[in-house]
Amino acid sequence: MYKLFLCFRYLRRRFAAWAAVIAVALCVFMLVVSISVMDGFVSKIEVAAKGLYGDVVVDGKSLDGLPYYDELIAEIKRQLPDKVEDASPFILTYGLLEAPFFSANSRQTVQIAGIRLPEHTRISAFGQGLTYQGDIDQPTFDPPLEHLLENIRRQIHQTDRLARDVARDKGLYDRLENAWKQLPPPQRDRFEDAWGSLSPEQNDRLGTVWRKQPPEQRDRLEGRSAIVIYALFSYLGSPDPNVTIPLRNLYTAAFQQRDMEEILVRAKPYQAQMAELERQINQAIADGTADEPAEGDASGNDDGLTVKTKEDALREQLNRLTEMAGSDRYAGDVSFPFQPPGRRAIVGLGLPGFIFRTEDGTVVRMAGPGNDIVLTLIPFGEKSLTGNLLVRDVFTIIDESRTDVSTVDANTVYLPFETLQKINKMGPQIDDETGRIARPARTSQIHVKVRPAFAQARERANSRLAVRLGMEPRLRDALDEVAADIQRIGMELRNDPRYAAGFAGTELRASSWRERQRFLVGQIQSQRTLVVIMFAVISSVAVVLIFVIFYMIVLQKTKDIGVIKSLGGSSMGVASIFLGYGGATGLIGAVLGILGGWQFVKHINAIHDWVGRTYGFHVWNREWFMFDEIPAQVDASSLLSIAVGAIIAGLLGSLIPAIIASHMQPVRALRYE
Amino acid sequence: MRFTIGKKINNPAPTNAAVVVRDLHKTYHLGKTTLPVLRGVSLSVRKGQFVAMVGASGSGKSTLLHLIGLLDKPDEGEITLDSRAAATLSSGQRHRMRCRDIGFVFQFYHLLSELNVLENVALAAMVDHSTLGWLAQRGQQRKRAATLLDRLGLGGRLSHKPKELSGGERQRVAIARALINQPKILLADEPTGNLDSNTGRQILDVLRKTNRELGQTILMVTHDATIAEQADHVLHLLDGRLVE
Repeated sequence: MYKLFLCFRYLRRRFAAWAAVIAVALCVFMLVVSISVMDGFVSKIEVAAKGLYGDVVVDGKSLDGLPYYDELIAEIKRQLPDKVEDASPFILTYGLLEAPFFSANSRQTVQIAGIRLPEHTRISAFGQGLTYQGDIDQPTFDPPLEHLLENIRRQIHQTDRLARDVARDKGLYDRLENAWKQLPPPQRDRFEDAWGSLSPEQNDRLGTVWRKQPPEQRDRLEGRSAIVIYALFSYLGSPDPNVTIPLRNLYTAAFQQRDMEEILVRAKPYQAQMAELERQINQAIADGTADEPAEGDASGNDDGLTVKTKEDALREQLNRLTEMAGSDRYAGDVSFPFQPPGRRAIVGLGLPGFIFRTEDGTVVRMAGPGNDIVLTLIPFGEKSLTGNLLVRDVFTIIDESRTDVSTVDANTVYLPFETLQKINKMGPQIDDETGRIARPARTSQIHVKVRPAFAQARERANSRLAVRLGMEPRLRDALDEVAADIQRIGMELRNDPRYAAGFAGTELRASSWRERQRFLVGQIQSQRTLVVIMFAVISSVAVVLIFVIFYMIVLQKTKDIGVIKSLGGSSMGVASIFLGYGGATGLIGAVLGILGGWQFVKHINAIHDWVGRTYGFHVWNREWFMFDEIPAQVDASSLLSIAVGAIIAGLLGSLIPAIIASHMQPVRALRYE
Repeated sequence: MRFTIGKKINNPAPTNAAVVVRDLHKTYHLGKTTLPVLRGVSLSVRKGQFVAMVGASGSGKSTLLHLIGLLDKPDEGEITLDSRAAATLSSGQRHRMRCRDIGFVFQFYHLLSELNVLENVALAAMVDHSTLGWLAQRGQQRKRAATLLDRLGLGGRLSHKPKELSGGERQRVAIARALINQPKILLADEPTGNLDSNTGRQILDVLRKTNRELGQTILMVTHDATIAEQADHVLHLLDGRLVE
């Protein structure tokens, strides 16, 4: 009993021991936070990686593609009704993206995915990641215009508000200012002229905005960044989406410091338009209806600000603006009516130039539905890649997709499956002479969704204790099993005389998304392991600290040790006091560290934002990541491991001092000075 | 009572002997220097006797007391406590004997500063109990400690910390701690050495009273001849040997 009694009494009364407790708590805190953030990261990546693909992916192992995909899908569904929920073909190829609304020189390579909507949304989380159609069950490449308008309006209004925050964004100003400095002097002069030609009302309005800026921002801008002010004015000048879209494009162009000449030309007509809108806004302000563009206000109340009937007004406005900002290459920035449904695209939310993210994670869009893009690609589906095969076509952006995997979102454009199949030369080829199908239609991949009930049942079965202890064999992973089944079905189809000719020279491979994304997820998991190991090594400092503190305590308590032994305490008993003391130090440190870490992780984003606001110090640069928030996931088993580790650290740190204490001769201990 | 000085006793220990020491040798090694402290001490103390050991500083009094109290082991010689030869005791038996049969009172009290008066006394009882055993008897043991402290005039000081007590009070707490397990032998190493003469006398009275009322065998080391005179017998140690 005396061991327990003295252990806790020392713990209560020795301040040095609390230093050890704090050291352990800090290490535990550090581990909890780092592991939780890394787990959150891995989890987010895993979810996102799965979001891009279906549970199981079938492909033909070549760019040539896989024939008879609809037949294969039908066969999969027929043979595996309990395991497979749905399946959909998917084409993946590569091409060149041009965004003429930025500038004629804006080009980038992208991967182009052909998907069937809404079928593809039943296979993956793709539908939930759509900006404008995320809230409807059946997203398509031809959404109801009304729905689209409402969402665009909401987005843009939000963007306008965000633009005000952007105006206070020091980083953005730095970039713009640098851009301004890099401009050739004649162009700067032209901008100054443009700035000088603003109407008095515009100047007044701008002045109001100007006065609201913090003094240091005004200093930074004064007399130099007319481009910034102009762009800012573009945003602040109008809450009307019909005007904001092209103005935003102008802003984008200004932001990217491209084609300044063109910007100037385009800017002129907008000034008149803005003046008119100013008048309307002032009128609306006087009527008390100006501030919020009335959401869902489709009744067309004729207040001069909101649309008459949305569709008509948008058509009218866009057509006018198209004329005003006409380009010699394309019909204009915003094409209306949009390209036909087969010529629509969904762009990844993260394509360079389409959006940028402020330091606080706000997404500022530079393009959206209504903008046209041009895609150029080599039709890899063509058997023989000779001659001038380049395919080039215009598509209207209809939505944007977010998978949260930056390499996907920054690099992918989605087109209707049949469209991409056709331009990628993967459609059916008819023999001119016989009129029969010489080559069946093909797809790059088939994405398969495994029934969640089947996957969960398999997971439950494998998580039973008997399986974990190795007493019962582990069942095959649900996805791997379905992949094997599909592989079998695929091979049966391939060997079927009816399809054998079409499959000639085509391999078939079915594998789970985990297998596909092994490299991506595996790398993050390796990083997580590395971080955990690094922090665990750093945490070993706590063991050394506990050792030093306990060694000091043992020296201080030498006489006590002599007394305890003279009272009949054994060497083991004395050792247990200090080991228990160390273990308790680890336990209390673990509890404090876990509680602190848990709370920190829970509020990590708020804390990060507060630190950023107060000290201007941002650890998590949201411009680099596609996650709005720092991901964090507290896992109970990790916490338990950390707590056990902390207790072991306490025991290890106190082990040598405990041995020293136990070996003390009572006579020497009593005489110790 | 028979003292055999510097000579080996071959006769078996008398049955009424509480402590029998035969030809005890102890040498301390301090680096390259060897320091013989006891050079063949033999003695026998009857149960219930109050024996004082006097001698100059360094004569080996405390060392002899520590050896008898099983806090140290002799280089040569035998110690028999309550008819049990110390050399034959296992480590566990030595711990148990120190806990149950021997009580120590030190010159510098050696109270644990983190514990209050009652806890310091109860600690000695705790050592003899397992956790469950102590929890079962906790109330009873604490009551016993409180009664003992009350008898020693510390009834109102139970929750005081050692630093809040005077030297005499601290020593009385140390005596209470030594007596809580009702040991057969009480070993007191200069119990009055750190106290003024008046307080020292009071402590001595406590020891004498204990000896009288409880029949405890007491071996007291002192360098003060007037204190030693209060004992039933006085042993003189000189350069590691007992002298008449």
